[in-house]
Amino acid sequence: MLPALAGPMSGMFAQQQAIDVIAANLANVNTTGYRARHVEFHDLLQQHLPLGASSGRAVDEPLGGAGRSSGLLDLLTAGVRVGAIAHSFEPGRVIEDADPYHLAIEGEGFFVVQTVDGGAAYTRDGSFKLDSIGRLVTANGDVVLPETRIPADATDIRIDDAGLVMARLVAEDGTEFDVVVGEVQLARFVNPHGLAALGGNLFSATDASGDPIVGYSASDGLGRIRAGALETSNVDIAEQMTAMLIGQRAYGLSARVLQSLDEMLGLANNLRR
Amino acid sequence: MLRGIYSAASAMLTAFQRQEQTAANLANINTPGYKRDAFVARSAPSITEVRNFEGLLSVAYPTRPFPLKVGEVGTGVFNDPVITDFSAGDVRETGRELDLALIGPGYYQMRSTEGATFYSRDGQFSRDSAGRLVDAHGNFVVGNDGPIVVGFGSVAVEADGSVYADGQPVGQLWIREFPVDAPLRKIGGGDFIPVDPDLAPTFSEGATIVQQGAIEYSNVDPSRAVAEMLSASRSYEAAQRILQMSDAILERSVNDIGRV
Repeated sequence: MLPALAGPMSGMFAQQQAIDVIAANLANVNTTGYRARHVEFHDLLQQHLPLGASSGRAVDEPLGGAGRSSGLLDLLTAGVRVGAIAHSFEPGRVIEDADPYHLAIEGEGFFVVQTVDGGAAYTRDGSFKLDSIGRLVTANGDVVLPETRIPADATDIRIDDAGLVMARLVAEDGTEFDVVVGEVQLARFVNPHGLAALGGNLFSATDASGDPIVGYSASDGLGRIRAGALETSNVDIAEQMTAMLIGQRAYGLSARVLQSLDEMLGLANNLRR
Repeated sequence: MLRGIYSAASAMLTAFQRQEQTAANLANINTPGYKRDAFVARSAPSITEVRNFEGLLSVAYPTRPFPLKVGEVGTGVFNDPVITDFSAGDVRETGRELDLALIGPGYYQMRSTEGATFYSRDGQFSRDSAGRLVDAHGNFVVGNDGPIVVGFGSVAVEADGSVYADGQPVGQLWIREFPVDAPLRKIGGGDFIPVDPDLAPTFSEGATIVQQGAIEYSNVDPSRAVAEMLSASRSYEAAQRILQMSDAILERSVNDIGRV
């Protein structure tokens, strides 16, 4: 690749990634507990040996008098790169539904689940259900920790705001009684922005996020569990559409300058026909 | 005539470099805190042409001063090193708590994990696992009392840079300003260092205001960049035409002059 074309290429590539992220956000606008992502751009530098270097001036002498020139043999901007793709952990809206296993978190915190490979993962998606052996699991079938097993003969299962899972059982003598069969815990992180996305609405802890602080609903700065409700995604459609327009225009400008550089190289190639 | 070819070639080269620079600016149109780079074209030293058959002329015109100057001839053009345009970029609202925009000439003083000091206007901050205010690369944002620790609660930043975590003051952003003519060097990632390492930045009360929930974007103006792009492309084309013409003239002198 000609080095001249790498700068506008980097611009097109970075804007393409930004548009891809926006597309994913918009695709997940109705995904329970989805956290919107955004791209952070950083400039790329390259060493530059200017044409004027042989003009007899000292190499590190600042130029341009009163202007802010940065001197010869300097680093020049060569393009752009995607520095980070960050999640936004702003809360989504909490919408009531009648399902007793559906939970939403009002405030900070994540549900703790066990993935198929045995590790712990964290999610804001509380669309839980029961599996064949009565365990509370996520829509993907990952077990909610600590494991809650609901007896097969239990009726009137409820999860209260403290995360207690209660069920009504029938004793041998025929009387009914309520019993706590489990408790849903929450975890929070000192730096949720450091969490790594695993896909499927799951996150895992990293060195940057710190270890999880696990506790019960509405304690230790954790949010409160709302049963019979789900949290929507936190994608703001107007914001995404604006970002898409900006990204599209920036892509177009980089494409235009790439085309122009290409025409210039064409002229150079045809200097002598 | 060969000189004409070299002058035209130098014009093509500078136009091409300008175009590459425009491309880099346009690539960074959405990069927070990015400052536009521009080349300043300079004419190469000119040559004074002198008529060199002075002996002959001194006979014909004994009162003329010698040597007889014909005039100045340019030898082309080159780009001076880059000049960074430090004007302010657009400030866009993001609503994110740790996005801070600077309005005014100041810079955030930052400290890398190795302890090096540098300056930045990219206000996309977050907190690390120890609750310190950091940029995307984990460099610390410096306050009046070392790196600012915001903890894990809500953060409020006032216009003067005072930071409050959960309502408690935790320090003031160490916003520094540089004299207008002090050269700054880009070190990548939207960060700057002064070219003169002994230069001490100053601070003047109220000159720079911090706006929370907003980011300063780049100062690349798309319409201006497109105009620069067209200008570079056309001057390249014109120089290319001159080079071709010089070549055609040279061809004539080589092949046609002297032919009977």
